[in-house]
Amino acid sequence: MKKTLPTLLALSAAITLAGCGGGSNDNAGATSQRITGTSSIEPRLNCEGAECNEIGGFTKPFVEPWGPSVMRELSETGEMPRSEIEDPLRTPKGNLKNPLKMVPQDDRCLRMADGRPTECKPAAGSIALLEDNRVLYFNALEGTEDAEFSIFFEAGTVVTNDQTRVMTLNSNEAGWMRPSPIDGGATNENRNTLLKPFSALLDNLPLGIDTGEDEINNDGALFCADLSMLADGRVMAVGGTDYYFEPGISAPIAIGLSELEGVRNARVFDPRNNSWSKTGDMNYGRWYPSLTTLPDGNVFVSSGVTKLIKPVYLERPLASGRNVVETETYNLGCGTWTDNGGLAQRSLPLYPRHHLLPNGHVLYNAAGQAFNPFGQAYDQALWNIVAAYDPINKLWTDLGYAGLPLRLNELGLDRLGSALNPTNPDAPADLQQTVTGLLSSLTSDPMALLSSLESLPREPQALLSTLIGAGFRGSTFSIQLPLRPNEAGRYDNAEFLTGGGVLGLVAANSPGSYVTTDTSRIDRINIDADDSMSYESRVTGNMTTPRWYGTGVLLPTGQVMVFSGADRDEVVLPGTGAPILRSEMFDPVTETWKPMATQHNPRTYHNTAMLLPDGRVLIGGHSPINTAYAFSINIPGLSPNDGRDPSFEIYNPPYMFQQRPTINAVANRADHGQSLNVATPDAADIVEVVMVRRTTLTHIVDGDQRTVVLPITSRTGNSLTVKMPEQKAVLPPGPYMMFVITERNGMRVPSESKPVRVTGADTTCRPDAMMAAR
Amino acid sequence: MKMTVLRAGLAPVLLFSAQLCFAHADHEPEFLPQLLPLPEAMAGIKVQLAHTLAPQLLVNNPTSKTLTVLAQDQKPFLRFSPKGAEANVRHQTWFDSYLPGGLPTRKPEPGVGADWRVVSSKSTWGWFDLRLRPEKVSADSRWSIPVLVDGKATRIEGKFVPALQKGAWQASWDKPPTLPEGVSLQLVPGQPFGIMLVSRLKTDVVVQDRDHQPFLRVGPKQTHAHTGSQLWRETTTQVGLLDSAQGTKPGWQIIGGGGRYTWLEPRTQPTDKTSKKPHQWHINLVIDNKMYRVDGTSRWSAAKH
Repeated sequence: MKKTLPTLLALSAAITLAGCGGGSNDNAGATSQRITGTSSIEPRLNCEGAECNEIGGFTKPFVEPWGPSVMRELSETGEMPRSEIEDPLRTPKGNLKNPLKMVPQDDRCLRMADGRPTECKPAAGSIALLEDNRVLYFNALEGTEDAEFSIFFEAGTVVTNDQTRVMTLNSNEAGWMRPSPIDGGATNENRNTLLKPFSALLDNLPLGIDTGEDEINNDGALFCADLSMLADGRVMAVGGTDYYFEPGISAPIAIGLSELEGVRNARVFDPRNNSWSKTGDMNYGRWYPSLTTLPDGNVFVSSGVTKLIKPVYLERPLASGRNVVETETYNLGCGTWTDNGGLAQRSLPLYPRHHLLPNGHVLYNAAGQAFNPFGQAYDQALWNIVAAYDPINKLWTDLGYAGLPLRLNELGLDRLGSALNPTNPDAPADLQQTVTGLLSSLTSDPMALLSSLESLPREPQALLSTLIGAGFRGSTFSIQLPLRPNEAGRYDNAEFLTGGGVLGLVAANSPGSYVTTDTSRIDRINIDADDSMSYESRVTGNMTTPRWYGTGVLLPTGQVMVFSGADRDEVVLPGTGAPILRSEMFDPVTETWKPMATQHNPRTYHNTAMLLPDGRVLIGGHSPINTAYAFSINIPGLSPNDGRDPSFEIYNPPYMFQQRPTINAVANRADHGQSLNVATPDAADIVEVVMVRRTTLTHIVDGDQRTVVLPITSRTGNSLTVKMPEQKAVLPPGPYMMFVITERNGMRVPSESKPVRVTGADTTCRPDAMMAAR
Repeated sequence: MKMTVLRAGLAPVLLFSAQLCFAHADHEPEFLPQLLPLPEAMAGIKVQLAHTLAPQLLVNNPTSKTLTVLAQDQKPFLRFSPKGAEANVRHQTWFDSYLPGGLPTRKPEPGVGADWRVVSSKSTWGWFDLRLRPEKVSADSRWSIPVLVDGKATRIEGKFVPALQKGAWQASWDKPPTLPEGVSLQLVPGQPFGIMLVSRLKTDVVVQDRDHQPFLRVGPKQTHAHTGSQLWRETTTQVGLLDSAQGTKPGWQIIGGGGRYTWLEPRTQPTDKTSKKPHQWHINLVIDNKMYRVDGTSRWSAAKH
């Protein structure tokens, strides 16, 4: 990264706009539900014969039929309103036209001759697997195709509220419908006007200037919200984005310094009637927050930022320049949010990677998004620390510096040398030269390792941190590996796999170096009988390639697939990365990665992937930031950046080509501590029964992701009995999928799943929670 | 101290905003204004120096006092009281400070004496005071804005610091800390660095602040901060605890679980931000009534271009 500081300044500030932009096209405020057609899914995969058994294969991309071609037909038949006479200078959104700008004229987007805003199909930037097996998704950065010169100066008006969709998947066909309201009910009615001191300045003078407050195209878009599935199967989206100019004007042309406000909204999608509705507002506006379901079904939220570009809060000066340190809890029964208080506050990166531990604490896995502000913060040192939040006592406990103490198995030792080479252009050479002699002395005893390093002139732990990529990691997935009970039936540890992303550059003290890595690490939390915790870490084999923003998917077998992403950080300079099409798989037995099948379409920023009920994996998304923060245009040979990709593909893992076990029946409700009877003709061959939480994913974050192995307590000819855990935190209430797994010739093969809802949520509205709520 | 936090977090982002809006990148100032601690007379009044479109002073006066801001000619142009924020529309500075470039087309209202108009119903306002942007600035320069608090004269004052950090401070121990078995310290990279203390002892480990007063107490079950410690007030990210500690008798406040705690340690950076010389620092711990001193040095590492 040989950039001048001014260049970094410019880029990084632009980054702040990055994550969220949004803007749309078709009548986003529509409230009627509408079926938008079906598409066939080509059954043929891009693998053949034995190759499928080794690396799996992808279907061809398929896409919602509703879109430009249909819209054009409707327009010609007069069913769609025509816009007013085209303005030769201004776009329909009021920004100045750029005669050099090209808009794709394929079936993804349509720019009508009469000057209406560009119409584009939504891409799956955020996604959830509903309990009825349908797929809920919504767009990312909607409307950014309409930036004419620079999204940085036009986002306040060109972005629009992100559209939502519900997709039904059958083996060879997909169907779509539009929920009501289609934008999730975007509003930002509780905006704190003090957040806009600069526009307020202008508004208070009789200058006749419209300060660019734009509540027509966007106002509380869903984008940059986090998702969580509530205990009853509804999906809650928390936070989101309001875009405006501050300062700026909307006439005679719309232009200004764009600002992105994290909103307080929480919205709930109900699959029973395919509609969105509002629930209680949070106390703090959050852009890029993280959600985690607690053992009682309530939902914990942390981090996010209220104003991204100019985080100045007049009435809360200590909060200025920071992400939101306050945490809150959503009470299912009341439908309200409660501030967890001063002890529960913590400085965290955006979209902090959280997981619920078996003891009910919420883990922060020292990973997140690091581009606010400038990838740095005054308190960024704290982001390196793995910590856990205790929801009962409402306080945090530090567990350790991420990556230390280190336990190296033989494999990790072998791989450490290459871990030094990832992508850091300067540091590895020096470090490698310095510590080559030390590599042979690495042992599984971290203290011994440290003592050997102490003879070096530099601070030994910092050196070690650099060696193994310890500390904060940006833009990585964080997968909770399967939870397994010990012999006594107690779940006493949890392990988390992170890989790729960007390392904290220790030498530069930055949590986000923007240099992509291929290092991979497992962090482990051991939980004693008294629920106290200890932390350790181990290095695994490297990923097959440095990968930024890959989405991790835990298969029922315990293997981890990673899809999509790019070879470099696509936020720092969008459009200059090379997409990674080759998927890869982590083997939990050997703790190594190997290349798998190659997907068809490039999917970099805002890609998604999730496990389907039949064991396949749905991948989608790709909604990049406008090229170099200007307008959307492709740079030949690099990531496609001329718009979004609304298509999906389905990956068939190798086990899909094997003889698979089946579940004939299982109860569709289960409570903690209960025994469950699983009817299966393969009872004798079943090696594991697992419960997989249904995915709710955005920005490669799913704080509720988990797979839990249930102990088999008995088996007869055609049935198994499994025991649900007593520990509620192991299986928080909500919808799951149950798989049974066989193992033949070393290959684990899962069944198709059956839906099981874990009950036991606390839906009482507790008065203390109400009183504490603002 | 609050402003230390704000400066570090806001300066780079907001400076960029200024560059964008006014395209003054070629004339980018080499120094930025910095706020010094407020006088006691202004207790309860919040003042923030933000770098937005330009250096901007932001005031929030939740007290019952009246704060009047004087212009260069010692005449009032802004006033904050329970009535809200008021502007003297007969003073040129009101218009000059409205935006970074002022309001060139607006002239003061004719008349003699102040003409106060409510400009915000809340006692909050931000203005672009030209005294924050003098034509000539050096590391020794100071800025000062006279104010009246209920008629009593005092000042909001500050100095100037280099505009951009072109590198970072790297902290390291001078030698591995010698501490009792079961206690360890680890430096955590950041600006400033953090320090993680791990203790497996059954007794408390107390960290002292700059003034050799108790700052942190890490025990086996809980970690406490001493609310009387200036260092805690400077560095805590639990701003809610800070707010609730105000006006109460200083004492130990639980801040987290036990056995391990990480805090931001500004002692790893020199107080004089213009200096790039190696900075030596130390931290004292008290364990079982015995003092342990750990020494470190921070060196300036220039950014690569």
